[in-house]
Amino acid sequence: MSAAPTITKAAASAAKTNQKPLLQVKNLKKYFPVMRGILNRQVGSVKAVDDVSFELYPNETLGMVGESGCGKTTAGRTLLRLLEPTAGEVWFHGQNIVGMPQAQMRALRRKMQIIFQDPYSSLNPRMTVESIIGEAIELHGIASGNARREMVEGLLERVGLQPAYITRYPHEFSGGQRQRLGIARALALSPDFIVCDEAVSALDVSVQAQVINLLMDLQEEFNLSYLFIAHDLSVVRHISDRIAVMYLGQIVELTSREELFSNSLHPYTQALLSAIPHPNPRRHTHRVILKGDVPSPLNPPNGCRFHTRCPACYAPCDKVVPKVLEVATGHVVRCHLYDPEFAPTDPTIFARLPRPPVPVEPVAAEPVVAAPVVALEEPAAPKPAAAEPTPAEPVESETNKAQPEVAIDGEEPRD
Amino acid sequence: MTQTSTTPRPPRPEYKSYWEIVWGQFKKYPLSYYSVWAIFFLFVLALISPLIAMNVPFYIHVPVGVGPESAQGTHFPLFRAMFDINFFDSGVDQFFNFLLVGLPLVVALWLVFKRVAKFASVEDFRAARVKFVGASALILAAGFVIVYFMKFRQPYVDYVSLAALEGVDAIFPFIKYSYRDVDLMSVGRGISWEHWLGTDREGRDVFTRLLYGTRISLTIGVVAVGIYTAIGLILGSLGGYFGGKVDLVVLRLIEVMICFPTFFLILTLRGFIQDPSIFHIMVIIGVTGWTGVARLVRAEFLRLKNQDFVQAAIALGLPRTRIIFRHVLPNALGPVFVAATFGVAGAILIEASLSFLGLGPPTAPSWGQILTTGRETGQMTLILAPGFAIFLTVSLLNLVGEGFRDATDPKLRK
Ligand SMILES: Nc1ncnc2c1ncn2[C@@H]1O[C@H](COP(=O)(O)OP(=O)(O)OP(=O)(O)O)[C@@H](O)[C@H]1O
Ligand code: SF4
Ligand SMILES: [Mg+2]
Repeated sequence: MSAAPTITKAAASAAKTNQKPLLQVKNLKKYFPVMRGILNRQVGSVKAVDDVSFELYPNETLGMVGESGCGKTTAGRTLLRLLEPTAGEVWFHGQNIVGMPQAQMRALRRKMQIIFQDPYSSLNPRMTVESIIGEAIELHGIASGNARREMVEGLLERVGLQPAYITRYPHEFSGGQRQRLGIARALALSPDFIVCDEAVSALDVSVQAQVINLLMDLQEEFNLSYLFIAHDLSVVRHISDRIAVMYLGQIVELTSREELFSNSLHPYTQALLSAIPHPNPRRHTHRVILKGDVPSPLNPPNGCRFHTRCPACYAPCDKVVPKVLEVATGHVVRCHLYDPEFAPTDPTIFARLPRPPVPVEPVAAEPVVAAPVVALEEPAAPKPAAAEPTPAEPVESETNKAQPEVAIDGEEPRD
Repeated sequence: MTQTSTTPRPPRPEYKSYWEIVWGQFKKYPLSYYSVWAIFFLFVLALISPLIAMNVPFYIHVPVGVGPESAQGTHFPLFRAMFDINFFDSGVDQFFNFLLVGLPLVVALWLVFKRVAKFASVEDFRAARVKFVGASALILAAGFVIVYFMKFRQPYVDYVSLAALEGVDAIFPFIKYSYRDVDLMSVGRGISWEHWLGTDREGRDVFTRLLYGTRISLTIGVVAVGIYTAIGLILGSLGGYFGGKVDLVVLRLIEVMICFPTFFLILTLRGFIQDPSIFHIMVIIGVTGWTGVARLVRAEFLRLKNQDFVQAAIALGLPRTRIIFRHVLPNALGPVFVAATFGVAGAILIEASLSFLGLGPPTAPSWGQILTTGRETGQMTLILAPGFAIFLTVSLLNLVGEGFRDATDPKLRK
């Protein structure tokens, strides 16, 4: 990798398409049973992850976004088997790890790691930095004694911390430093694949950027693949090659970053995109405010899970579960609008979408900047379905702001 | 090993272990801190009881022609008497006497060892210290078991009468009574120079009994709590870590146990035993008292199991035993330790209550037993002195417990 540092991410990801995937997740499900009553009987289940499939290639970053509670963390932990999957397969290095015996699993864990969101609960308060990072090195028989100490010091240096910190305890570090410690621990066994579960969400914006850059450098250096979980697109955009959008336990759209930003198809993705403030304040795109709360994963809506909030909801939506459709190479979407079987008879339905698709067939390799232009050229911004009061932002306003705005109702504030 | 770097690395900076940090915090609570030293003082008092009060001299010289032939010459009988079941027949006393000889030896050995051995780093030093403590504990335990089962016995000699003979030279401990010596000539005496706290209805010196009672009470407290903490730790961590069916069984066990008021359970169990020794009492308190610890440990395990650092340890592929003993258990121990400190105080009180009801160990000079005698005979010293001893010890232990509770709480770091 270091031989050709000029390769851009886009070029690299294009080269990947004919590689063998490192990780293949097939129809992964995780249901949490809900128990009630004195007999502790199961009265239902929280379908936290319901039929998720995707692939991850070597040296690739797959971003995963979605609102709070949509099952991102559960998906990440289930595919590492930190939670036992209810159903599905996870192929890693050519082996299905679901149902794999513990001993074999333990050996394979060296190659798959996780970085957590909360830098405070992710480090054992009773252990020194040396033991936190070096414990696995020793127990997997990689090095011990002085050799181990040197490895730990090297890792600390690599994540931008002083080697002399090895004798310190976690409580002596700041949030950003702790997150670096978490990264060093994940790197200790030289994995191929790391789940970054909101790895930067708890950090200050300036520290976020540093940590993201560190993660990207490490990816180049150690040839890592990331599943990068976040709850908003702007964080994921920077680091991801491909992006999966989750809604209520399902992936509703999955495609390359460029395609997602220029030619997103799913109404939910479009709503998310319209919520990202544009760096150029004069560019007023149409902002959509989704109404209502995220329904409970305990009883998800019938048919399409998004139909209670979808601006384009039409006949089949509340009855038939949409299929996973591959509308173009590597572009997967779960929505009836693009299913020839349910093609809407009334084409004006598309106009209700936050970003109506360009009438011509989708062009994959459109540059990122081109997309908002298309959106800009749309005639009068159509109102959301049921004559909702106009969004707080008048479209004509010239004093447009650059500060982020939470555009999705029902999202819980994060602490 | 692979010390490849040419420049010598700077020595590792000093660091404190978790318990060192807690101790540092603990020192900031003066009342609790002094209480720890007071408890330590009580322990030392319990340890050296035979050096303060015993009817056997440190040194005795019996000239030829005086007394029985076997007693003639110069002897140091106290040392032998400490392991002689004619003088000390209870396991508790034998244990403390053994410690009285063994502990100073171990400490002296450690001081020499620390001087002689060179340690490359703090870690090496700590590792050596752990090994040393472990080894000496094992050796002491083995030694005690041997001494206890040998049941060493010599012909009984009444040293006090012997020393009263003409020409005999003897140095006795400060107080010349044993806690068991019945003296029918001086029954129910009040406070005097000979008997500081008077005598009971069998003529035994109350001060001496109180002193030896420290051994009994501390042992009952520590062993009973040790038993129930062990049971609670095992059951609680099984339920908390493994969850599912195991947890269900543990929970039901706890629920069944807490249906019965503990003290009545103790009374019931006590009813099955004809003639209880203090060991029976400790076991009874131990097997009935574990529910609190089990619930505490279970809750801690449930909380910690979902903490990210435990998940990280699983993701790193560490063995399950390692995860339990390195990541979960140490983080659950703080509250258990605090509960145990309060528990020792509680166990001392339970023993006193049992004795007060006439259900205690009849022959042991426990504080509760002394108090009962006082109640039966109406002698004030026999009521006030052990009452005060119980009150003092229980209060000190509670102060220590409170200090540790605050010191282990990171939110209250000063
Ligand atoms: N152990 C559990 N038992 C029962 N339900 C659970 C459990 N863990 C998660 N859930 C439920 O599963 C759903 C998905 O949770 P998850 O934590 O995966 O969401 P998330 O997308 O990571 O959200 P966030 O952005 O808040 O981290 C939620 O509705 C949550 O309540
Ligand atoms: S299937 Fe229907 S409800 Fe669901 S996203 Fe598509 S249009 Fe909206
Ligand atoms: Mg999450």
